[in-house]
Amino acid sequence: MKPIKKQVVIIGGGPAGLAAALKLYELGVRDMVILERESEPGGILRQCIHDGFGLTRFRETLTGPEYSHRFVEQIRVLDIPLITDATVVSLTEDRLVRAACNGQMMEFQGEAVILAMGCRERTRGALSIPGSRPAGVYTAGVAQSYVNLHNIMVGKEVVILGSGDIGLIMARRLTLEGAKVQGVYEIQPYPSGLDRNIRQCLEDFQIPLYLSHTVTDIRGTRRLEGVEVCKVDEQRRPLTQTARFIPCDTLVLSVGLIPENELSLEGGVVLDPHTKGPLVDGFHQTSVEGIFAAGNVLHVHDLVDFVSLEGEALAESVARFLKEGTLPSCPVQVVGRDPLLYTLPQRVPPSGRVELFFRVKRPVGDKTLQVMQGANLLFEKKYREVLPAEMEKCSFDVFNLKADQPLEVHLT
Amino acid sequence: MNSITEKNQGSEETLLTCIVCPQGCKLRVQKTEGVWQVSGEKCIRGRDYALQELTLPLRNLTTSVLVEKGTQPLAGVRLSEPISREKIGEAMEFLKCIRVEAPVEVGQVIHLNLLGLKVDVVVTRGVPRSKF
Repeated sequence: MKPIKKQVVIIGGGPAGLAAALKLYELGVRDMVILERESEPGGILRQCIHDGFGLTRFRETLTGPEYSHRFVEQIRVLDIPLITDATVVSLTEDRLVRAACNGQMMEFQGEAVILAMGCRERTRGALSIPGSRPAGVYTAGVAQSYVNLHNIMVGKEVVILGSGDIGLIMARRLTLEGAKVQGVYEIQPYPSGLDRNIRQCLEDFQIPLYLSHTVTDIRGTRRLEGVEVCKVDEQRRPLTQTARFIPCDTLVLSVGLIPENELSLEGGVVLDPHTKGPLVDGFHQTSVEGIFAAGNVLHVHDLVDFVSLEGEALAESVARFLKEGTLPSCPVQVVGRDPLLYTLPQRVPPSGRVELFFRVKRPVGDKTLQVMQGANLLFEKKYREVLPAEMEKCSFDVFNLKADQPLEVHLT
Repeated sequence: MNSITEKNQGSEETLLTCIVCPQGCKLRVQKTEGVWQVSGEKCIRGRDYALQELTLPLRNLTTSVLVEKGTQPLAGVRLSEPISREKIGEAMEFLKCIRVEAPVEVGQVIHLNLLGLKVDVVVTRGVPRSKF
């Protein structure tokens, strides 16, 4: 079987892949293909029927599917090749992509490959929550998919673990569909999700939020019968004397998203343990030449508007890569210091515009971001408040940086 | 925390978080002798939100409706405008009883003047007609 040659193979037809494809088209690239695992493109946006999307990009508050529609419609109008029901099963360092498409295997040889596979959810198993394994334990995205795509109600008496935005959104959604959400339990002493979601998803429905709590036992034989919750100390260890039993038939877990990089690893791409996504340079290129990454597969985003921008920036780099055969080298390492959880990209060119993304490990207030190389201060920006739930972005120009000395990013 | 109100010598101060956009500006609304004053907003929508929220809270509703003869069982819908928060329950009860026939397209209005509140029900995720 001879592989089909394509200039660009895009793995994933969600917001990152779609934005990259449209931008590539705009830049004159035609020979590309998008490989999408589901039967419809749009990625996670298909099931996010709540609004709040597109506020910066379109200045409108759209629902997930409406945001996605704007891109998918364009893909259809421009006839950009998109294969649905195509699961990519392998990726090599030489950019050979094999996919199972509707019962047959297809092989594509790309000059460039764009990783846009998105992320997956942290599971009960990964948290090692003790107890039995009854039915009725779902991650929030799975519950959302059941309710919003398949018309299946997941349960009636619900406990939610994790106050991330997905958990909060599902608290509201399940309540609207007739469930009783007993409470949202959050292990941190502060909520993980946005204040606006605490307001419109919990307070509007009088759903209590219990901070510094976690689930310590799951009980039930065939179906969940209830969970044990405990208060935790500053080291997040359960205070067993505070244990309470909460009867319920459904436990929804909103405990973290993890970039989906199994294929990336197969392709020899090196990951950053802080982002759990590929190490990239200022051109969104990974450690493997010709393999690029954008969207949740690179680092988990809060706003899809930023994902689209990232896909478009990546497309500019890919178009340049296709034209020139290579991209400028990015020898300058970028290192983020506490309280920064990560900074991205991890390597930049000695001269050019740097678009820096970062997240903090814990909420901080009244800080100044400083980017230094050695004793040289290159950029400074004040922040009133930075929260772990909000990825931040800043840009600045660099000129003639030393190649062998890292850029240090401080937030003090 | 949201919506904390303090009363102090004829003036009231309420703190709330704006929900219009993800920025979530912390707003302070002072009511002194019947005159409202909003601060902390980064745009005029925040100011409008604050005043509305303390007089008649409005919410939009995004949910799904059942589709017949479609490739999928559900279409996504939203209201064309926010409605009173107190009417959300009633709106949900109504929408659970609707059935629409595929195909339905994004942007299509499937119901006018919901509950007489002068808002329409608009499709957000369309459903094509099933071939079977």
